[in-house]
Formats: sequence, C-alpha cells, structure tokens
Amino acid sequence: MMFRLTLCLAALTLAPSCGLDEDIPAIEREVLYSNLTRRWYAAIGIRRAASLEPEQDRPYLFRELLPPGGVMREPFDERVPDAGGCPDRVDLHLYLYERRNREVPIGLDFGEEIDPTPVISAEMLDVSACELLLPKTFEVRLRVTDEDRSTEGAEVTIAEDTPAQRRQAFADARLPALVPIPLLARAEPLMGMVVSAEFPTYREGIAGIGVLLRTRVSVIEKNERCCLDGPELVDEITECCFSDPIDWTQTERDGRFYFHRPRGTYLLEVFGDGYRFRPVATAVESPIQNVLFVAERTE
Amino acid sequence: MTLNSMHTLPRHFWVMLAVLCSCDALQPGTENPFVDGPLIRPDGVRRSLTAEIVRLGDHAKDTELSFLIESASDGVAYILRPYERAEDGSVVRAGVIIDGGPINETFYHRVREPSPLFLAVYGPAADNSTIVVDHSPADFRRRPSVQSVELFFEPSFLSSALFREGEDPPDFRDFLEEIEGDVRVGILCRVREIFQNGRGGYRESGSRNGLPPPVYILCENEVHCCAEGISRPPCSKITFTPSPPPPDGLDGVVFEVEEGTEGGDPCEQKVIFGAVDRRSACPIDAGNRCPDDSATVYTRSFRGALGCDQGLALNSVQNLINALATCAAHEIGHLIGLQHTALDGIMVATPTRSVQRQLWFQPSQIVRPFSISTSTEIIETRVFQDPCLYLDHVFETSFMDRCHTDPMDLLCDVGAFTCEPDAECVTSPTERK
Repeated sequence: MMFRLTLCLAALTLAPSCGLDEDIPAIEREVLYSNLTRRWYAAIGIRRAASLEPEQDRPYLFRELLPPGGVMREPFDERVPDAGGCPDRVDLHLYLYERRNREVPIGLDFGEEIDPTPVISAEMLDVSACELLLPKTFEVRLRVTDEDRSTEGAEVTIAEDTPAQRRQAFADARLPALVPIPLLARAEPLMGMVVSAEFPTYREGIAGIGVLLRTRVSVIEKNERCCLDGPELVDEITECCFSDPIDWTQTERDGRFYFHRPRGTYLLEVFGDGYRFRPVATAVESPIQNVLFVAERTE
Repeated sequence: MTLNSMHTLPRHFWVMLAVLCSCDALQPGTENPFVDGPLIRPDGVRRSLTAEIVRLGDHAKDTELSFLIESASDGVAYILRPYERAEDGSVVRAGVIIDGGPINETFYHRVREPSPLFLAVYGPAADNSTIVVDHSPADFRRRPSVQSVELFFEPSFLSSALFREGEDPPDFRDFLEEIEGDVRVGILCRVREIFQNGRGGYRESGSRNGLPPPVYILCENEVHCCAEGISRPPCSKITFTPSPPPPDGLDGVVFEVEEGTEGGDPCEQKVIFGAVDRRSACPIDAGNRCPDDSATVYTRSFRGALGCDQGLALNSVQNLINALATCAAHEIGHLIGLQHTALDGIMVATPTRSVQRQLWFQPSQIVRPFSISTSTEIIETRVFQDPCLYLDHVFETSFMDRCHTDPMDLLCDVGAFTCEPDAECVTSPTERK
C-alpha cells in the first residue's frame, strides 16, 4: 500500500543561525506537528540531521502518538535536546498506524487501540530547518492525497506558498518496528456552552443541544485545494476541511458541554430542533474551555 | 531612531536586519557578554555606556541599587540575572529579566537573592548613553503588591466597529449588538483567567491559597474597588474602542501585533490590533513603575485582518473573545513591562492561529539580540523573559512556588464561564434593546 503524504515546513520567524557562537543560545523556535489525516495515528521521530555529524548515530526522539486532528507544540530544545536549539537540518521518521476498531467512531472507541504493525513507515532526511530564514515555528503538517486509494509512495512537500515554505516528500522506508510505540497523547478539555440570546432567558444555558466533534483534515488535490466538504466547513486559515464526526455529546442542564481529546484542531458543530445557532460550527485548537454558541428559537 | 519609530518599521525590515546582523556581526569566539562585558560598580560615577549589556557584579541580599541611564533616545533598561537554562555552574551565557526601569529617569532595584546581576538597555544606542549606578538613597520606594487594570468598553465597541454598511445584512448589526454583552463578559473572564494562571486569582478578592494576585482585572463598574481597598488606586486602563487605529506613524503610538507586510495588496497591510499609549508616562513599563498607564485595543482591526480572512475572528463568538482578550492581555503585558518574545504565547507579536486557541504567558527569549562592543568585534547574546519570575520581582510578593506549574493543573476546575464576573459587570437584559 502506498501513500502520498505531505509535510509542510512553515517558516514564520526571524533569523538564521549562520556563524552563531555555540556558547550563545540560538533564537528559540518551536516545532509544531499537525496530523491532518482522517484516520491515521502518527508517531513522528526527529533528530539532528545525521549529515551534520556523520560520525554520530543519534536516536530519533518520539513523543506522543498523534491521533487524527492531533497537534503538538514543543520548544526545539525540548524536542531535540542535544541539538543546541533548532538545528540547521533534521531527519524525520514517520510511522502511521490504524485503529483496531475502525468501524467504531473514534470518540466511542475507548483507548483507541491501534494495530501495532504500522501501515506505513517512512523517512525524510536532511530537512532544512533553521538553516532557512526560519520563523518561530517549524511545522510538520501531515497531509494525505488519498487515504483510500493507493498512489506512488510516500511523499513530503514543503509548502510553496511563500519563499519560506516548501514542500517535501516522505520516502517509503520500511523502517524497523518502533518499540515501544508512543502512548496516545493525553486527553485535555475541550469545553463550551450554548446560551440563549433571547429575553428573558438571555445568557441562560440551553440543555439538550447536540454537539458534534470533527477533526481538521487536509487532503491534497491536484489543484492544491484540499477541501472536499461544503464551503461552510472550510477552515479559512489552512483551507482545510473537516472529517466526519468522531464524537458527539449533548449540552447539560446548564448548557455546558465537554469533550476530552488530545490537543488538536477540531470543528465543533451544534444542532437542535427549534433553534438557530450562531455560529453553527466553529474551528478551535484545544485545549480550550470557553467555546460559546448563541441560540435563538426559530419562529 | 526612537523607540516609537523603530516599532513602526515593517516587520520584514527587522527580519532582514536580523539576518544581516547575525551573519556579519557574530564572530565565533570565546567572548561572552555575561562574562567579558564591562563591569560597572555602584560608585555613583557617571560613565559612558559602551555596551547594551553590562555586568553589575555580585550583590548581597537586600542591597538596594539605583540606576540612571541618560540618552537622547527613549527606551528602557532591564536588570538581569543568569538564565538557569544556560548555566553550566560556572559560565553565564544568557540572562533573564527580573526588573527594569526607564531611560532618563532614576530607578531602583532591591536584590532578592545573592546573584550576579547584569543590566541590558533596550532602545537607545548604547554608545550615546551614560550610566550612573549607586547604592540607593534612603527614599527607596517600596514596590506595589498589586496592579489593577480596568477593561473599559466604549459604547458599541463591536457593532459600530465590525458592521459594514452595504456589505453586511442588517441583521448582522443586530447580532453584534446582541452579543456585545456576552463578548464583554467573555473578555473579562478570559483575561482574568490568563492572569489567574499561576499568579493567584481575582475571585478570591485578594488571595489564592494565601498568595495575593499581583494583577487585578476590573470592569468599568468595578473601578470603585480601587477605592475600597481591594486594590490600590489608580488603575491602568485598557480601552476597547470601535474607532479606527491612528494612521501609521502618528506620534504617540507603539504598534502592536502586526500581521502581513506593507504593500499594495490590502490583504497584506500591516494591521494594528492594539497599542500602548505613549502619551502616558510609561509606554512599556519596565519594572512596572507606573500604576496608571494605558493602552487601546482597536476592535475595528479584527475585521479584514489576518490576511483578509474577515471571518476568522468573526466566525464565532469565542474566536472574537479569544482575539480581543489575547490582545488586551498582550497590552497589559507591556503595561507591566514585558517585551515581545520569540515563542508562541501572549507576548509574541505574531501568534499562529491565535484566535482559535487560548494563549498564556510563557517563558521565552526576547526577540532582539543584545550586544557588547569590543575594539574588534560585536558580541551578541540573547536575553530571556520569564513572566512569572519577572512579576515575582517587580511586585512585593512571593509567587515562586507557582512559577512553573503546568497551566492545565491550575485550570482543571475552571470550566467555561466558571469565572463568573461580578454582577455589575454584566449588562442586564433590560439594558439591551
């Protein structure tokens, strides 16, 4: 099975590291991982590029298993602690796993157990990081061209939208099994409230409103637009769209609702008979605790 | 070049300058500004300031020092101590801000614990400045224990700023008017939550587990609290205004949180979301000397901003709340002396996806490098900012045990709107149309 993946290295900060005295701290930068696939669970390993020091064989550092929609942000000196800040170039290893209970929506699949055999393992070597005119964030954005049909092997691209962004392909590498597989990223709160906009119940919570949770998805099409769903669900920052619902809940008596999911980019969508909502759906990056929907009764 | 005019330059100018400077000026070597920089003793002698970072030597606990830096330019100076993450036990390679004060005005520092100290100037050219360091006179001023900040919302701060006649359906104005009260409450809650994060809480009216909170966020109806002793008057003030931001270059404004570049494309125009009022005595209040400084959040900027994604802040109520509250907290950060930092957090000037997530104050580097000049080369280094450590020093309270707590641990019991504002803060239904 072959896949096409993309990795966007988004470059958004300040200065290169040319000639920097190693005794002087480099400009701090963070690494941001976004899993924008619909169903893969991603373990991403990173290390200072071997080409920078061929005599060393540094291990890849893996942190959490990122579920669909998952996001992880870390300062570089925590992520690659022996790299002395953000290294000029990095090597990346990628393992993608699938859930055992694929027929069950993610939110109802307690533990979200994965098949330990990766669906794909791939690598990308010598990825330019801080040798670029790098901004504050080095972003690894996992995107797929097509998760259901086979293509010609893993690919990474560095977005071409700006001079600082390029697109680069992962190469299918059949890497050795990853042991142990990182634990699923810990759940954090994604909370909010549906309130009335009408007198005399103004600002009172409304019970029994359904809330759907979707994950942000980015699918690369030939025309480089990724959205497959209706325009109302398009995220205006990344032109990404959103998955089918992965979980749902209802507002409680006081109008509040709660999800607990790993940090990530999600779409919350509300529904309820007899109400009009503003907005109907909103994109958020969790953890977030103040999502607010305003509801009015329809005539 | 004044601090004001420096801030008005396009961000990409500074990017290019950083590139040029870092490539040409940094010379690998053994010199280290925190080791090899000039040493200035507290002897009351006026000296030329030849470097942006100078060493102040070691001082005993409770030593009180005074500083007077005179320059033709505006700016601030910061007191630093060794940065823990850069220490190897013997060599100091970076500093972290613990206090500060204005240029051209005497300011004081009391040593909390024995440590090497450094001073970094931010703004004026070091080679045109003089410095006098002395032991503080008897009139050493005690630091405040709290800072009150009033959030003031001008009438129709949303509806008259975000509605566009002819472009929007009429009911959009009605909707904006309807949610104005919710947004105001949401901003109050969110900003209070931000300053409660590891710093004590407003709701306990002065203490959280015995620790008084240093920053109180008040709404306009609560300013009387200042006079009633919950906080100390006068208050700083953040004004949410529907008025347009002043034109670029207008004297008296430091531009903040810009996005995009200046150019012909309206989607790439620099956007002014908020500004510190430079007409106040302390525009960026290093050391938090001024309890009554002020700043503005321009709500009009949140439409059409962020690369012309006009729906970005407007497409949900909490996006709008997050955007406005983050901007307000960023300006409050300046009002207590914090500078822009490199990594994501409240004090970064260009946060990513900022309206869709909740940002916090975080330790990070100051974006700008600091340097010392030697006869042959310029040696640069970085300065770090840890808001918790800084606040611990500029207020007469101790919060060290909370300085590096996971924010989520502190927020585990804070759900949506559990930060209930006082009743006076809420626009009552009868006041609405």
